[in-house]
Amino acid sequence: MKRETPSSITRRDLLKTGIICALSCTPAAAMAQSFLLPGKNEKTITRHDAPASLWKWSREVYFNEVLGNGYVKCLTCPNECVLPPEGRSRCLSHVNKDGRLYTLVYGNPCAVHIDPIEKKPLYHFLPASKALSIATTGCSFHCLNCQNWSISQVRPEDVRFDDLFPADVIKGAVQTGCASIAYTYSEATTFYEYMYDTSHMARTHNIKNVWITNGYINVPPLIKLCTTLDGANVDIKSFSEQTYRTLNAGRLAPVLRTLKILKEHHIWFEMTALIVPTYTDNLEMVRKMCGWILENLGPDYPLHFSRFAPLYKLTYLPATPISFLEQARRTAMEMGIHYVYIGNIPPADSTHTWCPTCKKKLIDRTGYRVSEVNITDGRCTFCGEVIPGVWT
Amino acid sequence: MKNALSRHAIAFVVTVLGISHIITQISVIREFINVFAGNEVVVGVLFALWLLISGIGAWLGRFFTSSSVLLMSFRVCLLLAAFLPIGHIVLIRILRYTLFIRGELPGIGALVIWAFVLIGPYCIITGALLTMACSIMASPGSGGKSIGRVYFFDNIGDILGGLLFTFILVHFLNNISLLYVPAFLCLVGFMLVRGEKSSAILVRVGAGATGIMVLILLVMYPVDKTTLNYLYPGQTIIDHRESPYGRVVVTKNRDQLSFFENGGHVFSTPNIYASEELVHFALPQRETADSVLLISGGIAGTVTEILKYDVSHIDYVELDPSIIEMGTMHLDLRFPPPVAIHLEDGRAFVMSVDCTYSAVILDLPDPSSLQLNRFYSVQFFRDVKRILQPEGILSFAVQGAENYISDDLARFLSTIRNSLARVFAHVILIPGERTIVMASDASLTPEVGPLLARHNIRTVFVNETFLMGRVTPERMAFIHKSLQPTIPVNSDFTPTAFYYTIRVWLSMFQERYTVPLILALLFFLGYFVRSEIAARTLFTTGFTASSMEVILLLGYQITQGSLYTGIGLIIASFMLGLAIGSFGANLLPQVGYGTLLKIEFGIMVYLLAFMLFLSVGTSFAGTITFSFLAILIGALTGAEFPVAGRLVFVTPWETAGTLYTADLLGGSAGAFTVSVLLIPRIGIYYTCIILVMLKLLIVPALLVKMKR
Repeated sequence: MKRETPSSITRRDLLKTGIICALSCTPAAAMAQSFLLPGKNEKTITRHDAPASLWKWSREVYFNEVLGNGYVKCLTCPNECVLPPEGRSRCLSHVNKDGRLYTLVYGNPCAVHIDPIEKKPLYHFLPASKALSIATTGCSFHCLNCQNWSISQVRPEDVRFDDLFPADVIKGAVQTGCASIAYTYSEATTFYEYMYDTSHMARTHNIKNVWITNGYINVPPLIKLCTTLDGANVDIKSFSEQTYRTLNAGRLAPVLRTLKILKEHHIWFEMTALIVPTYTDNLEMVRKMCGWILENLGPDYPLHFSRFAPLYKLTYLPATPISFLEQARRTAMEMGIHYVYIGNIPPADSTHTWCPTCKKKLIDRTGYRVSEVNITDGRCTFCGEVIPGVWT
Repeated sequence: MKNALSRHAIAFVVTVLGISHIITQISVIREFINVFAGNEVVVGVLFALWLLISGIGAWLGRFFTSSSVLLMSFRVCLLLAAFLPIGHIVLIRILRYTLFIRGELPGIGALVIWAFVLIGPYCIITGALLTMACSIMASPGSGGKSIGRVYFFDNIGDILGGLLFTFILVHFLNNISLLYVPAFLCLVGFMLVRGEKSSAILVRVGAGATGIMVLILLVMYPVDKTTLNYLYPGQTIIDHRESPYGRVVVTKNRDQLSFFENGGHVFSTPNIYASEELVHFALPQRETADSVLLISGGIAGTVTEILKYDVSHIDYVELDPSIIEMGTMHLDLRFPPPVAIHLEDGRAFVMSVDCTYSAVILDLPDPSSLQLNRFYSVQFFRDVKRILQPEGILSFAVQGAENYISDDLARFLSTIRNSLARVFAHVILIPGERTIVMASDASLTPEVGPLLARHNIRTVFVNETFLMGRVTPERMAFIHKSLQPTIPVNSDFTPTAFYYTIRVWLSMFQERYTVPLILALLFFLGYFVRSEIAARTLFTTGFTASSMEVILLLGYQITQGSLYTGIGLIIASFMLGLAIGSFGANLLPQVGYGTLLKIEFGIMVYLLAFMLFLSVGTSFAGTITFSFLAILIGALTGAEFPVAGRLVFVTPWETAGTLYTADLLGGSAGAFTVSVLLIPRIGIYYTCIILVMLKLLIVPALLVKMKR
């Protein structure tokens, strides 16, 4: 067949084609920069995201450094966000207004519940007592399996909350007969000022304070917090820096430092290790972690292994095989850790507390219910062995 | 072209391309859903991208005008079209494992970018091939008729491909193996297309034969099993089946078995918590629970929990037979006599069954698709009430949160509660990671501990020892305070629950969609304004066609259930309509803008009649009615393409490129807008009104053209 026009794409055609293709891909191109590397999990400081004005629930952040040129650095957690004017921190709770660093989460908890202390989990801390549990928004990490992502990964302005200043929290705890206040659900370090002031006030009312945390905090704020704290549960999300970066957008080293400082300051704490298939279901990693615990903390701080369930964004993995959790517990106990528990599984021996000396059952737990406590004055009722914890 | 034989070969190749295109589209989109996420947004985005990139490909095809370059490019593209689909699927599986965080659900942004990369090459090539085919098929003096012919043969290919996939391939072959069939056909087509030089026959046959050899080698190598392993790291795949409803994979890790459906984790053994939640809040509420209807979930442990009660009869309905087969095989499940298994659509079962139940339990995923939304609509709840005993209970679990209920989640739960409250006197929501929802005309209580004791039922998790940390007065108060009575009810044709499910899902990603959506809108708007009237008409027709396809499929599933062959039949009817329309239009001796205007009016009348059909009620409509409606809209929209081709003919490549681009871009805009934005927000009725308005936009310009 004879063609009416001879072949060929001219240079102009090519250019035109290129431009049109590029334009047609504009929505994609606009997003490309941030999405081309989907394997990264990181939190970023957001510019121009501070509210127009501060609100009733704002306070100046206790630990910060003014850098000049309107910049300010947050020193609460190891993220150490350097905020430009009107910038917002990675945890989404702190903003730079007029060259000063403010928290937006002081007295505005979005979650207020009364939980059994066993739910935290704290198994060696006033068994069968109730904890008034509070949380504002914000977290220094971005855990892909976060159970509370709808508060930990959002801004304080984006949720419904209660107006509950420290004095109101204390009043609530007294009225509901709670023995402790738990700073929990999201990451309490991000509402450090609120937590510290509340816990300070709680002490004067004979109410204890427990901090349920990822342990990601700088040394000065931690030491200050230790003056008001009675107990903590610290997550060891893995024993690998790489996994911390991938799954949590965090780092392991500061968490280990926190555990050492808590011990030095005689704060009772327990540790929770979530076993995530293909990331932390590794006996070698369990041994390494237990070795570190024994060397640096000793055998008496309880370790809770927890069963992973697909949640939030980490939904393409199966649950943790219970047999692995049992093996991890056996390994930890064989290595010398005295109190090792398994969470998120049907009730079993691994949910009770056993005396490391006489091997008798000290605390019988089914679910969150404690039906038997054989600890008297902090000692095993049967053999008199000292059982570490906060019992009164 | 040199002779008629070549044109026949091209007709064959275009038909093959239609077959390849439809099979590849279904296969690749199924794979994407399996590997990344399986909700309507993802499907809508993928369809939109598919058509958009094909449109760009069709536009690029216009630049191949020299006969020697054209034929060579055509053949090279055919070879690529044979192997690229297989490559795409392998790449999707490998890149999911290597590029993305293991186990993570990626966000829409990453998905769009990678969809461009992963489906782009094939779509560009097949789009360009259509335009090139029009150029090759054109004979001197044939005007735009070659374009109509190519469109017709492409439609025939679509029908054949659709039927082949629906009734044969999907039942016997896995997602990769079934692509060998169109690959083989493409290679045959490659060998049939003659070049300018007769000596080229050796090269042509040689290359084609080599391609077939490669294909045979691929068939012999377990590509599917090998690449599937990438998706389940740390586990051993002990069984996997591709059924028409999706892929079910069973993996083993130590002594634990895990079931995955369409990529997502369904449950791992032991799955006590979820099964107990579904059953033991509902069944102990009454003195007796003698007959129970369970829709899905039986193999996950729900049946075992129901059997703890003194039940005389359990009807267990499961849509996908492979679920039952795999459950009984790997979990060593036995269903004792009170259990009767029914392999059919749950909604169709509820509509047709004539006995009554003490309880109806749904163990289904959240309404993340229009298909699933049917089980949470006020119409479905009315059907359930009809088969419940006077004090009977409906129970199911939906997404939830234990400690805080976000605004989007609150709206979702509100539409569910409000819909149930339209039908039942008592509705109760129990907070948790999964919100337990119960409805009945008799009273209900969340305090099930004493009730379980009264029934002497032993449970592991659903008992007072665990509920004391979950069903607390503060949490109950918080969930009820979060519910909003003003949120509209969820109905079949205005799927509010689906809309809020998607909002909750999107809120996980902290991505901002406004800028990309505005840019996409500007792109389509710019295209629409700048194109001339025939292309503009085809753009709106492409939009209407893809929208009506979604609407008809939804309507069919609501009234007839989600039977795979039925859905395949509706799609095939639509394609048949396209073929009939294009064939008829090709026969018209004379065409003018008046012809186009008449078709436009036909489409508008169709849409208005369809709205009347919706108002009167669709309950009487069966497969035949929906097939007829699909053929009709297919014929109307299919007739426009050849007419427009003859009206605005300049050169085959230019005209075909322009029209295919318009049609595909319109389809792209429609696929996304209607399923993700319009239907969930304003419902089907008002979506039809918008389609009519879109068509009305064209009329004045067509009238002006006619007068000239």
